[in-house]
Amino acid sequence: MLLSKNWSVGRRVSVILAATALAAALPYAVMRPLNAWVEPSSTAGVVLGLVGLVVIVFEMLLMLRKRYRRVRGWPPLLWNVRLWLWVHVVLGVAVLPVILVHGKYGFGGILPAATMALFLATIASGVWGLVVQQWLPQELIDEVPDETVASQVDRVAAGYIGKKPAVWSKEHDRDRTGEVFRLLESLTLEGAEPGEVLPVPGGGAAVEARSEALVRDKPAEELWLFCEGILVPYLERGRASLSPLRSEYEARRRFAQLRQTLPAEAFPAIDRLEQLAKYRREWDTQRRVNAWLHAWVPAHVGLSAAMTGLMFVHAVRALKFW
Amino acid sequence: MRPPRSPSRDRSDRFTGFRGYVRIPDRYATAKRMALLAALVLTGLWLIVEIWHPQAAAFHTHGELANPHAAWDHQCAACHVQHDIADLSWSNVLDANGRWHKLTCTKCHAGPAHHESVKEMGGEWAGFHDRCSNCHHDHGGRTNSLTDISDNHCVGCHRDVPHATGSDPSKFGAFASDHLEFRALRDFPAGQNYTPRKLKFSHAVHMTPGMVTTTRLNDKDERSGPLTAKRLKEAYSPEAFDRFAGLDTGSGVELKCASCHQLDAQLPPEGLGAALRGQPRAEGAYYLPVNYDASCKACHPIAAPLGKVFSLEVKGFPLPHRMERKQLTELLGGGYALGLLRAEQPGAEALLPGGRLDGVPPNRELSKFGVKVGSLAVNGMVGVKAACAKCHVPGKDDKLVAPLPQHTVWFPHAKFNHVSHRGLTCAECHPGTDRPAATPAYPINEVEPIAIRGVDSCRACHAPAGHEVKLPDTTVTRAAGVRHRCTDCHRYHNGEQPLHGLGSTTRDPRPPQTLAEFLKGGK
Repeated sequence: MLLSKNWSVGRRVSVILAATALAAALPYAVMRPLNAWVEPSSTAGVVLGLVGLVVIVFEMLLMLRKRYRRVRGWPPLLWNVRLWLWVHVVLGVAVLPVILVHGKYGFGGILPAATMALFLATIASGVWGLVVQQWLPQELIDEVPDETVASQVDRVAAGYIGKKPAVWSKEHDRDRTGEVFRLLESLTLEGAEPGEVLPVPGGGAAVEARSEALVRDKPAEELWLFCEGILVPYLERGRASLSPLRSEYEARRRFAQLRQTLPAEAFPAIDRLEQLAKYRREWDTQRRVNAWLHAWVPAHVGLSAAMTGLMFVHAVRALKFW
Repeated sequence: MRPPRSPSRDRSDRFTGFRGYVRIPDRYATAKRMALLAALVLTGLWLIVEIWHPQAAAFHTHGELANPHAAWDHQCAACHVQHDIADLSWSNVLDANGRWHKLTCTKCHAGPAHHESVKEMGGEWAGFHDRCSNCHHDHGGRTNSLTDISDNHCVGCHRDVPHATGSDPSKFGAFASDHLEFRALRDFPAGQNYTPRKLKFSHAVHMTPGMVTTTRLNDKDERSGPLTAKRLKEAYSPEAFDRFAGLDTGSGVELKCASCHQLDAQLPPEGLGAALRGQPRAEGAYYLPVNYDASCKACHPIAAPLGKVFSLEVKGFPLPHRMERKQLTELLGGGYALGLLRAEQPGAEALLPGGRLDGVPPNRELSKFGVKVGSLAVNGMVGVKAACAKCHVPGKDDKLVAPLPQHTVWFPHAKFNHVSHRGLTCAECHPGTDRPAATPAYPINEVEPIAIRGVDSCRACHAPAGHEVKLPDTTVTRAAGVRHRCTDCHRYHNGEQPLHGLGSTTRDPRPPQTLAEFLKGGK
């Protein structure tokens, strides 16, 4: 709403950072020349502290709202999670000057200092999250057209190799029934089933029945070696496998080399294998981007929860002596 | 031939067999839970420490206490009144400042009021004086001064002081720009004699080398001109010679300021205040009053004049200083009686202790003797009064001399430390007290003006660095930036007794504490 989707990423990020900086610096810029600070223990200071407390409690309620997102009530607008998130963002920036003024732009004793440090870290992590949310989703769409569920990348990629055994051991490894091996077998074994559909780019192609293997002898052996030694580990473990297929250039070169030894009829299947490697490469990228996109959330949640806890200790303690 | 499969189908096929993955938390969800747990643990640990740690108060302090209060750094309740939730009400829940500043300073500090009149004045500032922490700010670190108080604490009330005095309608703000001239100089500006002074003294005469005289000192003196120790000794007594030891340059006695003015830190003059020797002395902030016996007597001895009755002459005799009329009359009578006896009846010597008793005059003779003595004493008193008037302003009624105002402290509502300023010559701040350029015209026998430079001379040092200061001699200089707050000169507590020091009994805490009580913050 405040950040139009039609704006460029740079403009949206600039607005977020400028709004945060303005919220933090404006009261300071006003109070500093006048030397008119609000004492934390003055009536105004306490009111600001209480306002900050209420806002922070509301901010923390977002966690519960998202946990129980299916709960609905009246009026519907109040239960709208997207609206809730938008208010969370706006109040999160608005509470910054409230708390800074309450704290007289200082840290105070150990507990107020710890609370203030956690508060600032919470705000910083929130702003960071807001910034990456403006920028990375579009990057993801552009860079990873074949994205999948980020948490399932390893499982999905390994699904092209075979099924996972019920109990994993050296003897009971993943079975070799996945698409990679079916393609290999269709090329190197005799008697492919007529009418079998091979998933290849463009929607797949039917295999003609034939009496002998399409790829035989040394090329077949090299093909198996390539798949077993390079492609399968890459599909299984991605970048961690240190496979040369991590690099798009290297992958292109390797598959081009492979094609030179194979008949043209085998190219659709090789194209498919290359595409699987490309999927894995994209998904690795997706996982990396995803980490930037979501890793701030646990930090934000942890920091804000710790800050809220210490804030209540600070408030109760303050009531005792202040 | 089958139709080709769509890419969407291809995507959904990837999850065949494990579509329940959405129920399995990913690593970010797990991390989120761990972070929440860590936050919970952190808060819990903090609470445990808060409740059980004996020095948990340190977590909430605004900063270290100043050195005098260091013992209570971890004991908020030593100074602050504790409040419980039950003490909160709708009316005071927002008054955190009031609760926080509810202190118990008076357990250890009596802190007499500023002026009793402040309470009578009422108004918004009347209550200000009831709260110590309005001015004394602690928690500023060990080296923070609790008495180094910014000017705005004072000018809140005293902004209208110039207006109140009727001397200047402008508002008072800062020493460098707004401070009035010192009160004494407002009433008696430079060049105008300070009439409240009841002593006639000329610094110019006494600071002139040789203190040149145009007449003889007395009958024993054979010449006029510069005074030398030898000439004084011949004219007066050997004491005069001793008095000016080291000051006689041969061509005459050259006095210095310290010849007469002594700091309260210095050893009292020989023979004066002997009981004070070996006792602790003050730090030297002020000068002791000039003492006649130590400083003046050598040149200005007091003596009864030569008495004449009929054909008899009775010699004069030395008289002590600081005598009341009655005492002086008795001394004169006694002295003249002794002189008369010696002059007209040598046998009367027998009246003296150890003498013979056979020369006792008959009653009629005694009566005549008494009349003579009375006459001598009355005439002697006239002469003595004239001698007093050499330096003193005559008193009223039966007072021989007018009482001298006490001017050891010229600024009773401020503090000044001469020791701190002894790097300067005296005349820098006390104009007209140094050696005159030329021998002064005689006689100079009037009360001098106030020998204190105006407030501008203070500003040459005590003003913000670079502040333009116009000195009394109309030259303009830049201030040195030495401290210049109100509290650098002015005291606050017990303002109605400005000369009371910190040792004043009004500052005694009541009741005193035992050490154990004291370390717990008092009872």
